[in-house]
Amino acid sequence: MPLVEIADLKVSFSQYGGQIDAVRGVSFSINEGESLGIVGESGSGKSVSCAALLRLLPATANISATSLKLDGIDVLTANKEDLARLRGRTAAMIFQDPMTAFDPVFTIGHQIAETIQAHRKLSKRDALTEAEQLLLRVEIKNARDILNYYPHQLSGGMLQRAMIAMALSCRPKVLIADEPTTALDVTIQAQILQLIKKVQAEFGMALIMITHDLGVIAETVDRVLVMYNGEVMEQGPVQQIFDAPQHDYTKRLLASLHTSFEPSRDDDTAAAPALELRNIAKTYRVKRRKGFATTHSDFHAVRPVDIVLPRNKIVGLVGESGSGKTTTGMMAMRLTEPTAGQILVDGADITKLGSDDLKSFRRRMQIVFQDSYSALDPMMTLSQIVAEPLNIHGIGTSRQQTEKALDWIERVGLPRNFGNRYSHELSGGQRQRVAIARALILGPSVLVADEPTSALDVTVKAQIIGLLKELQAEMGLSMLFISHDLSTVKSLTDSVVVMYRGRVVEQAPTAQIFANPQHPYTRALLEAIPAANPRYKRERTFLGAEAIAAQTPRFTVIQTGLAPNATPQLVTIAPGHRVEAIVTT
Amino acid sequence: MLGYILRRLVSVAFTFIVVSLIIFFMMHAIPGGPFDANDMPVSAAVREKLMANLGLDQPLWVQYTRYMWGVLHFDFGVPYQSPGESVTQLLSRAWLPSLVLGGLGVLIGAPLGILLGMAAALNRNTWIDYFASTLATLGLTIPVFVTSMLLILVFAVWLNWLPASGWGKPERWILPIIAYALIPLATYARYTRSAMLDTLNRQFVTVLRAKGLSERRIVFQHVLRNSAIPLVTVFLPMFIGTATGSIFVEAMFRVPGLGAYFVSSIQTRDYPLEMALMLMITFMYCIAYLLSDIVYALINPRIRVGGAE
Repeated sequence: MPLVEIADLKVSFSQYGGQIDAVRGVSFSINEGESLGIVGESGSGKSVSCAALLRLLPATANISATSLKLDGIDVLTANKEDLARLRGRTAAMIFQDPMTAFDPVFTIGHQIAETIQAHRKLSKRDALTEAEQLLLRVEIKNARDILNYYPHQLSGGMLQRAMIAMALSCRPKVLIADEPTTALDVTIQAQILQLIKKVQAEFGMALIMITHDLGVIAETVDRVLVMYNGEVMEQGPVQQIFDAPQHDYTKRLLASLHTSFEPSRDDDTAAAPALELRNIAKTYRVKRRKGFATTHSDFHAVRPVDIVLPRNKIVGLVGESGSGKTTTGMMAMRLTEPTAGQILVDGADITKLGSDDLKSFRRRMQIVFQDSYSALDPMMTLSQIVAEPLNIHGIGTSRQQTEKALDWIERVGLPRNFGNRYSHELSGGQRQRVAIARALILGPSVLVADEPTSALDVTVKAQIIGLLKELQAEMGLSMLFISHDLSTVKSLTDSVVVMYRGRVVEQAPTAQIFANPQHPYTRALLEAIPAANPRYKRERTFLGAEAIAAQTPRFTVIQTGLAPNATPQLVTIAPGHRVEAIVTT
Repeated sequence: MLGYILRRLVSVAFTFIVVSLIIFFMMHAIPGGPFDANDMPVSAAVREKLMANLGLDQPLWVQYTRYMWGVLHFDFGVPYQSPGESVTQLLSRAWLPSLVLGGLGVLIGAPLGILLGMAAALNRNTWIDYFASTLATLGLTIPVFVTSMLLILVFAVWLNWLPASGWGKPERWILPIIAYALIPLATYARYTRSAMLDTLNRQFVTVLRAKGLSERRIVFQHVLRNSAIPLVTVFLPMFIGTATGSIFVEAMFRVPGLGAYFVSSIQTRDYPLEMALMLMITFMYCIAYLLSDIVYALINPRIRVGGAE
């Protein structure tokens, strides 16, 4: 008897003005110990199917199925006691965003212990002891301390580990992981995936891995189900899906993994770079209070860094959250005032420009943000949004402005009649297109793109990258592309700057970074990229902060021509390739 | 945590002083005085003597310090309206009906409102929700003097069950208290409903369900505690605000409370009484905000335990 048995599952949601069919006849089954990946973009019904399995859907959902069984129990007719047994004991779930998945007012220990106590008769003390053991098993070192921590005191990666510990607490037969790494940094993602694989083997559980990312699938599962628009497109062994995809959608998904790279065309290198950041730094004053006394300390978000963006090139700025990459991008735009350093655009210093000069100057520099939803005014139509920069700078009559805005809406690949729509009517990818049109309508020479694709589905992400690449070539743009993910950068940028804890640790032409990474952190980033094919999946080792500091490369005076120095400094080791290293005699 | 409370205490004390300054100087900025020719026709010499006796010829800041020194010793002076007693005596006499009316009104209305709001949130889009929402909207939109009139009309005039007005005997309390309790009931029901719904829609509630916790435990332990965080900041100050009594209800039911003195002390330029009333309310609000800040910190670990590791 299979552990999970789903046949012809249909889910629809009643809404104002009709029904939305989220799942239209999905069937699959899982045996004990098996691991199944469900891949599809947002809205494909993959999460809804699994939520239906635990009856976690809101009351507005209408569920029907010829069979919806979990461990032999019919989920649709299950009574209260059966449901309580199914949830947590038979099947446990891990969710996408660990930051919102814990109740903020209770400690981690309390929340794990209450799960244990909900299913077994145990004293609070015994439950807490067991919670500590579980935390140790998910490789949390100071487990006893963590028990008394509140969720807001932990990082996303730690919380996701605690979430996994909580899911394991009742030895479930099947673990459902709903995009467990989407909200995390790449390096953390790789660690969490490896951890999930490990505990699956240790506890002998079945695994359902829901994700939009084929890399995650390649790393973790044996069998794959591809979903699109509420239906199963195809299913089969993971190797077969990667090697011989049957369905068009699967092929498109796979194609997005293998994008080709063409370098930007060469311009004369003698001209001043489009954007140059010289020793730019940002320090925040941190207030700390103890009773009435207030002490101040400095937090260095960005330590002095030099970044050069040559004309007509794309430079990737890569690092984990908190590395200072976004702050650097914001400072380049003068949206955040730097504490020190200079910003040069086309050789002109803009660091000290007053607000009037800065305004006319902004025509030459534009930015696209990560969250396209909050970046577009919900009360304005798309043509108003795209035309607004023209309006601000007083270019053309209002009719000309609208006309030009519509041209741009078309140019970024949207129908002209979208001009009258509002941003909530669009999908994430379409909104990002609008944001790009708004940024480029003034014909800027520099574009800062701050993680423009990290909130998007894989196939859409590939399209947006393609669009940026195309427009960059057409317009001769110079682009600073900020991302936390080296694999995104690979197909787009000419060179890469890697930031770590507010410092630049390595910069090199893209091919060089991938072929010959020098800094341990760059290597860790590369190591963390999920395999593009299950054939290449491998065991990974992860470096902590101390290990990264200990492995800082060393070069001699003869190699670099620099004076010996115990503090790491940027060393040029090849044309265009600089790495943070210690120079020894 | 102790540092937090101390800081709040200092800021509350500061607030109180600033408000007292503003009230004091505003009162003196009103043109005219207690011995204007129209109100009290006395000769210039007598007037000067009176002013000197009462200390009104001193510079303002001296008057203020003297006054506040008195306040610290519960000496608010003598009310001009009834010179036979001190302000403190007058207040303690008039305070009792207001406190009974306001206090009982809130003590009955607030818990009922909270329960109603919870019932509405947990049974969203059912008749319970519609009933609660309708009641809350009516309670908020219909002015209290209209509901008072309706209550008098129905229960005193038509049914003849209860006396229409007055105080004294406990059965006379019932109608004003009902009229008054409707205000906190409606407000609390609305706030509770929306706070509960916000919490119920959060991701962690789904996680709690997925863990196999019983619905009752989820609601009474997790949802309630989380909803309480935004609510305490609203509820405690409101509690005090309403406990000081309602001018309208007291007027409609002829309750001999503080309400009447608010109006008369302004009309008769009764500085001591007016100052005392204003300061008293300010003080209670300060205490209420202090308490709500402390309770807020106690139930919210983000404040109690502080930032990230």
